Amino acid sequence: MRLNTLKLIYIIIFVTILARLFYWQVFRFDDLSSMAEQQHLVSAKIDAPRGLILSSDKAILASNKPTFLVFGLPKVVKDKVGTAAKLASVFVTATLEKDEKPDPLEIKEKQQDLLSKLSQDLSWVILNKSVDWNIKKAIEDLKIEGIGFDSQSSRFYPEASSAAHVLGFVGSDSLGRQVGYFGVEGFYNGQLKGIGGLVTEEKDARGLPILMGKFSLKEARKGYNLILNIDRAVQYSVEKKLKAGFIKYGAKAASAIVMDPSTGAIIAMASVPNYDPNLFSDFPKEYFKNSIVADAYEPGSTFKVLVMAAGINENLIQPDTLCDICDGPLQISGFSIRTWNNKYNKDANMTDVIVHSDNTGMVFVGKKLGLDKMYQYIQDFGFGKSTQIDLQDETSPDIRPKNDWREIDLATSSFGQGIAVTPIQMIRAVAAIANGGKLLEPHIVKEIQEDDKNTEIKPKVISQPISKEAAQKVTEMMVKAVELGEAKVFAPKGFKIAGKTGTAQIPVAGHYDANKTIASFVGFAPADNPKFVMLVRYDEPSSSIFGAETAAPTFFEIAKELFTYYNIAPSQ
Amino acid sequence: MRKLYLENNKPKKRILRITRFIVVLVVVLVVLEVWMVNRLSTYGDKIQSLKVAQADLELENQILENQISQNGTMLNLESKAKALGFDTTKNLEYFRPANIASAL
Repeated sequence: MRLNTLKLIYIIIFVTILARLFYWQVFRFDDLSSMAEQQHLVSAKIDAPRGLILSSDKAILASNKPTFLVFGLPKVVKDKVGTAAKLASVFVTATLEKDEKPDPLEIKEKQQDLLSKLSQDLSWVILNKSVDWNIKKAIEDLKIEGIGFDSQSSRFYPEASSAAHVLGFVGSDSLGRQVGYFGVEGFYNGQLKGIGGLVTEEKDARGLPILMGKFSLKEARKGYNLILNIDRAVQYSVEKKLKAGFIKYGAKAASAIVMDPSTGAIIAMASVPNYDPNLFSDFPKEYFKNSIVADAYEPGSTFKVLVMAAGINENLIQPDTLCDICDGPLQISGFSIRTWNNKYNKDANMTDVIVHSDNTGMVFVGKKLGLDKMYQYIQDFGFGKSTQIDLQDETSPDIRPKNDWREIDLATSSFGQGIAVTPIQMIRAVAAIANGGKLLEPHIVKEIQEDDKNTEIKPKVISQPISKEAAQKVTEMMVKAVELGEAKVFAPKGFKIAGKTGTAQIPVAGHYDANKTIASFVGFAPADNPKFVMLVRYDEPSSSIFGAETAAPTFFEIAKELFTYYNIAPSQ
Repeated sequence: MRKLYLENNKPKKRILRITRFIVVLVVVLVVLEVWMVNRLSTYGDKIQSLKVAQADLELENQILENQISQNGTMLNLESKAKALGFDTTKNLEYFRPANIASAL
């Protein structure tokens, strides 16, 4: 009996244990296994490096710089005062130039700041962000317990402010993610940023990987590299000359753009004032805007070549057509239209009109064209809509609806007043004259390098607003404008350059201010087989209000360097 | 009679031999796995140190690449060229084909 009772007790105990084990092994299997996995399976994100931006000669324009976040563990750091002093010395010394001596006061301030952070009742505090590898090494050499580093990455622009408006910069969005803003960084952010990966592996109690354990890997895809059409030698030269002109002529702002008229490739693009994208937060936000694609202005006389091209294309005029209304000021709708120097030539032909930038002669062409055709050509040359250039901040000023145009609007638009354009729209339209009448889509990026393939951005012809013959006739008129016009003294001898000056008054509070102008020069060379088309623009130059005395000299100075660079010999 | 007995026992022996082989194989594999797990589990720190070394090398490469690109900027190249005595060409002389001597 006692033996049976004992047997029963054993059976009950055995069944209870079995039931309990069954409960753990079967019913709680999912919970417990996931708890266990959480304890020994560690997942880590793999950052995808942002793609590089390279110039046309494959030099790096934007790269990634490894930086580090320095953190402290206040509960681990024993000598807080000593640690703060050592770190402060490293941090302050790192910001100094080569032979500069550290300021004891600055070190003391930094030390106080670090000490207050390390004295907090926290387990983990940030001591410094985005520190260089050299600083990290210097701190590591100090062998301080309780100081650690987290890897970060920041964008690095070796050429500093060069081509800043083309490149844009990388900042953080509201969620702290890296995002490209402005320029190429903004436009191609999706391609540049890549896709992050994830590695999950089993680790032991010491945090070391267990080789025979579970392992899964989702590889990161690094961002695509971009090769630009920007030629950094041309870019450097353009920036140097433009900056010198900006100072010399006392302008409020300046911009220049060089384009290959046969492909639409942007070879150089510069604006002053500019900024250093490495230190973008130190500059005013207004500097970030690329005036070449985002600023609307009245083109003034540079627009005349387009209206003239329209008239010739329509066979309404020819270069030798005489102007029969050019003998004096014109009265239209109560407004008086004069030439810029108040001199009139009653025997002027259309070439003279371009050479001497005669406003009355352009009104003659405008009248010949009429509103419908004028409006159509303005649209055909790409004004009123975006050029689709691959830069983030492009805007396009609207062209007033045709119904709202009055007689005076037709007259003033014929010489480039009362109509707003962007510099990129303007250079593209003039490039159509240079390349035989084709309107092209401008492109900054030449090639996108993916992991396994390269995508070349091919030239894209949008339309043909004028015929090849009309383009050739206008080119010859523009060559005469350079040889005989107001800017002839600055033109390099022997080269056949086609160009046109522009001096546009700026509308201020409903009227034009005669002393505030946008001085510009647009042209291309060599005229018979153009290698480049260029636009130089100064906003409100103070030494002279005229494009012929400000923008034109800069244009020719840059052109001279381009002739040497491209091995173009004089033809005349 | 004995021959018949031996012939009847032949398949049984083969099964027995196969079973014995499988058991030995399983035991060898289990021992091999235990040995491998035991050996590789101590390799975690080596893998970790290799990973750290790889990351350090990649980092150094990136830093050196950036240094090269910084040294090759147009501004640096211009100042180095100036230091070496090079200067911008002020006046270029172009030769016309007629001015160049040629042998006939």
